[in-house]
Amino acid sequence: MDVIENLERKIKNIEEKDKEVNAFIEVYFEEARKRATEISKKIERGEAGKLAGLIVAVKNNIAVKGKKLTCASKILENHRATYNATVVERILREDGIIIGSTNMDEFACGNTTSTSAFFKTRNPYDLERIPGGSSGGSAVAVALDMCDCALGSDTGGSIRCPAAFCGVYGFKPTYGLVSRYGLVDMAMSLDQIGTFGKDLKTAKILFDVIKGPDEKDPTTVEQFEMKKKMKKKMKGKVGIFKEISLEKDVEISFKDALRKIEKNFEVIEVSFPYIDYFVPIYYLTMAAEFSSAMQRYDGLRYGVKANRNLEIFESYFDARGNFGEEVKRRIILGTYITSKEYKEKWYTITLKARATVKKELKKLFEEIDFIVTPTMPCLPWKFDEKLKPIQSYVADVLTVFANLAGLPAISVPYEKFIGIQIVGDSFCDEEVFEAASMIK
Amino acid sequence: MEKEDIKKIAEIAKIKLSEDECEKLLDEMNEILNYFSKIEEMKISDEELYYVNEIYNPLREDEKGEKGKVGEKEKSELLINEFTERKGKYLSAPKVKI
Repeated sequence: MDVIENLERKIKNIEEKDKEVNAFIEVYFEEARKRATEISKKIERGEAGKLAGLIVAVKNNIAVKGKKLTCASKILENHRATYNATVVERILREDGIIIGSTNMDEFACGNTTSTSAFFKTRNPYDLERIPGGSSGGSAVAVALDMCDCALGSDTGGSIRCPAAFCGVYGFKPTYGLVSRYGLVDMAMSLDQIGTFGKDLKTAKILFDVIKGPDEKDPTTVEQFEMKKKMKKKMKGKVGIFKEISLEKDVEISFKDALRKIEKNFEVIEVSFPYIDYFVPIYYLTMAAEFSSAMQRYDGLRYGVKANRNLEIFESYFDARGNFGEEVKRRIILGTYITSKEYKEKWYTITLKARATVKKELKKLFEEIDFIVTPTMPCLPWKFDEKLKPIQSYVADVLTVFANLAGLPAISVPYEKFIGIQIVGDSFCDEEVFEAASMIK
Repeated sequence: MEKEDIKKIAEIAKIKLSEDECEKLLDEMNEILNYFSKIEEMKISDEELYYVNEIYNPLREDEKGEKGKVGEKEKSELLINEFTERKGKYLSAPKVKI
């Protein structure tokens, strides 16, 4: 399809449907149209980059120069990014067109996209249900053809969860393959930027464009160097966890998907005694790092304005009063477990527990190529089902372990509201995409 | 956790909480920590995981930095523009009472 035609169709879809679902925080139609014209000409000259006019939506915790970078929080309501994130630079360099910023849970705190300080994003297949989160806006935008693909961030499942609930592909790379320069930190040892696509090819091409070492992010690594060191041998085997409990519909779908997988792989049931600890280890790690990352919001250098009539420390309290409930909850949790009296009891143990889980997962990957699970153990719940914090946390049990060990993982849309997750060994991102193509 | 703990932690984190918020958070924190305390049952190694990939501190060459490069002034101006209150090229901050 012609680039300009494609863009106009996306714009029409946004104008018609976004008032119902609220996927976008800000749209950039004017710039997008200008770029579409330029890129159209480049395509005619045979000079266009790898994305060649693909329309991309960007989660609003990733910096797009000159545009609002809010993280769906009152704290950054009027803040504008002063530079492009590395991933954005790479998309622009390859002639992708950025159409707008998408809604999210406030500072990525959640799996529902309803902790956004602005508005909630709705599931396109049932407006009374959550789209998942925290990258809900990006998932919905792709599902409703408001863009060809989108960027999200995944700390504990924030790409894969909404991908599963909204029926699109959602991919989280191996930790270190995609630069976090320009991504607002949530938990630095867990965060990764990843991609959404309506089909596998689109999710992959966006990943190929954004990935690669970046001197501005010293946690990035060179994939093939790291992979060579591993001397990985593929065995044609897939592992499934014995001890997981699933909602009935999810279990039925999962068994169905396994029948397809059995055509290409030997499926082995694995007993992994650490599953019960995934959620605690994840939330404790994340809260500790998150509370540290949130210290920078002081109402001075950016964002909401601190009251200058107060003394400086009082003004911090004043400015930081603009954090939402879930954000405050996680800051309190993280500050508590890293405080002097409780650090040994909670934080140090968490670090050791994480090391153990990572070691055990790596051992498992010596015997198998992939771990396959449903992405989420349940269906997307309704907005009015008021869940307690701990109830929504445990829904992340199947996604968080990939972040704990830095493993690549994809959610493949299988049935309405249900995704199948494939987790690969470190740096085996291409293999994960290949395995995903075998499920449907 | 006790209510005093919540207040002390909120003080450290510079988060203002009303009495009601303190009560509610106390209940929630205790429920969450109770659930998470199962981590004590886990058989764990002695090693602490700080970093996911096995690489060492990637340092760059000790070369001259960005000062004087083209676009420096523009970059500074954009950043200063985001200050919540500026005085010329300075950040204006509230008074420190000693």
